[in-house]
Amino acid sequence: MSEKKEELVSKIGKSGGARRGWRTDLRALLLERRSVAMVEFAIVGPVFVFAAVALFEFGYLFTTQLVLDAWTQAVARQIQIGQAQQQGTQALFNSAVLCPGTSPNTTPSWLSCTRLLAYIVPVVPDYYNQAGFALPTSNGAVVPPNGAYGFCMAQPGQLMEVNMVYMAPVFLATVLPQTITYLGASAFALYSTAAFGTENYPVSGTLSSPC
Amino acid sequence: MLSGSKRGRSGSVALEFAVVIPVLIVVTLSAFDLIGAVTAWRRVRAAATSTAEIATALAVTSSGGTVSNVLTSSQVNQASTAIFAYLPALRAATIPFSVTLSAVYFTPLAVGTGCSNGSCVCLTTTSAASGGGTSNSIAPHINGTTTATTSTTANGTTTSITVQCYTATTAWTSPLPTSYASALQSKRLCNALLTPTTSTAASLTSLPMGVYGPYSLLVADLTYKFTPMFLGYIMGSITFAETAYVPPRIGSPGANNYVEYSPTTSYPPICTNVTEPALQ
Repeated sequence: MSEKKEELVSKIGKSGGARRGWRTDLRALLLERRSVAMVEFAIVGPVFVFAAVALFEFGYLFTTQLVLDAWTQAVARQIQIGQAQQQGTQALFNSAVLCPGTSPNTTPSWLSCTRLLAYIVPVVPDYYNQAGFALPTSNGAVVPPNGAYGFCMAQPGQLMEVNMVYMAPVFLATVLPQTITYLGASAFALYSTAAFGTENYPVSGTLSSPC
Repeated sequence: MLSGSKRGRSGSVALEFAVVIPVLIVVTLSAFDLIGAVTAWRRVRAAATSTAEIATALAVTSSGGTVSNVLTSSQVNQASTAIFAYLPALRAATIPFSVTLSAVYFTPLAVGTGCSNGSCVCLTTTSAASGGGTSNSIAPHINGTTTATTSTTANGTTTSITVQCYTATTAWTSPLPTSYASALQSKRLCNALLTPTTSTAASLTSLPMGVYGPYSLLVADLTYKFTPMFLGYIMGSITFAETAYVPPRIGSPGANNYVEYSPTTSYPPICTNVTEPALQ
């Protein structure tokens, strides 16, 4: 460090004395190295915190996607073998198959059934010609369907499709594309599909709301 | 006046930034592409399993207590379109993919016959019976000779060893017709034995040695060309190939032991000169 610089730096923070020009002040500030770490952290810190939160966010979404896939497969299998149809009504189907309180298919406690939307439809004539489905929305927000919003009781030997959507809560709504409002907060819709044909299971009596 | 050292330091910061930023951008974008690729790969796997599972479920026909496994051409198409449920974007007809549904059966080789050219898989069944019970193990290996059961007794334990060899043949094979988006046409090897392999990589001319056995299979071969959103400009596309092997529902004794295709004479093309093996 030159003598001139030492002199300039030593002037910082000193009150009183002769009035200096603002150019001298600025030059002194530029040469000041004492608070460099703090300034650097002020710039890098928010980026770093954002990256850390984003890491958790993606981890959460990815894990939830895996759980949702397994959940969808479990529900689809119940329909495939004719067990789900034994419930008789959609309300019983919701409580016993879609969101069972106690069963081997019970979902992790950090997932909430109020965030699950299920769409269960027969496929005619094949998956290529199957119409897509849209989430039920109102004023730009997804409406909680209170259980399955597309529903029917699959018959034996029928081609079926089960779509399940989980409205995962997110923090970084401003940077994630395709976030949508659900239950008054930002959510990211995770989709899972199961395509299957039902078994020739025996039917006793008549099915209510058959596919 | 700025000193030389000050100017030099600010220059090095800019240089570091210039070096690091492209790397950081590539790392960030590849993370996005990796998620996309893993998701696509998982969906192709799910679609392959689904295709074979749907075919086995739809094939079952029950009549007067007799269960038979027969697929019509429309049922084959229904099962083969399952990929559209998992990858809806394929309907846009710009992404190459293929779906091939095939029935494969295994022919047991008689005692004293086998192979040494890598065309058969032999299952060695070892059964050890003693006062404490019986334990069984089955080990598959490529090449060998079918042998009748041989038993030896030592220290109170009777060990029985049986070797049964099988060859694999495609009964029929059906690509998803070209009328479905941009479906590529591919068929399983016909009129020749499928090659057993220790590899898990999917191939239309081979079968993993682990699936050989007395029961037939429905085999779904799917391929899907995935183009990463960002890195596709650098590395091009990745083709995911996934195969699912699903045994059909058990039929009535005496019925055909593989899922038949009906009608056998019309599209899609089938293997010719097929002789159905007797049920084991």
